[in-house]
Amino acid sequence: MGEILHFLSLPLLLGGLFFFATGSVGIIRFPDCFSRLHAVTKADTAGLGLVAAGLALRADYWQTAALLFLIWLVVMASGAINCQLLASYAMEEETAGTEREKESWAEPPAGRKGAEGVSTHQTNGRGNPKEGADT
Amino acid sequence: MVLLAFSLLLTMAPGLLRMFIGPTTVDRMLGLQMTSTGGVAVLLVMAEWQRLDALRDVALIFALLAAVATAALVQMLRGGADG
Repeated sequence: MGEILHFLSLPLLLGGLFFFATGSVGIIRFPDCFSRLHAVTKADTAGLGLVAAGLALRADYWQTAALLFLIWLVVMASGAINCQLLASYAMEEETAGTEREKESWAEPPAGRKGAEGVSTHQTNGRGNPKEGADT
Repeated sequence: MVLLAFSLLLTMAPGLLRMFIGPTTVDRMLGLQMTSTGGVAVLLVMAEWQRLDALRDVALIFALLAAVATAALVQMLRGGADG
């Protein structure tokens, strides 16, 4: 009986690994943050659910299987709620004005612009003494 | 079990990469969620592999903390956008 359950748990574990792998490929390759959200949700629910089911078949006591099921429930609920929150936040930021979008989202490019401004000032500062030397 | 744990660790790496290169804050939080879920899965597999029952409790606490973290970050960003 135990060996049969061990054998049955293998496809579940491999399926969970497959869902995690597709989620990690999707979070890198997908172009939009909404499609990335789709990939992350699949890895959260299906991947962890299959891994937890495969490990529950290998568990010695039923309390262990219950704890695995509880962990899966917590992760699934938090994933659903957090993805709703993130998607609504992203929609708000998208529908908001472009100036507000630049303020809240694009802080690193603003820093880069500031750095470029500083660098151009430095090149101007370097250029001016050369011009002064030429004249 | 060992191969499964290491493969799950490898699938956590793209989430970390997205946390670094993510163009928006939402992308970074998605990478955080992906990484935390992968961490929970690795802890569960390690609890079975090393026969350590305490790691399942660690995974449960980890899942709860990850759930609170993303919700708190979204609330903080909204408060910062409004005020």
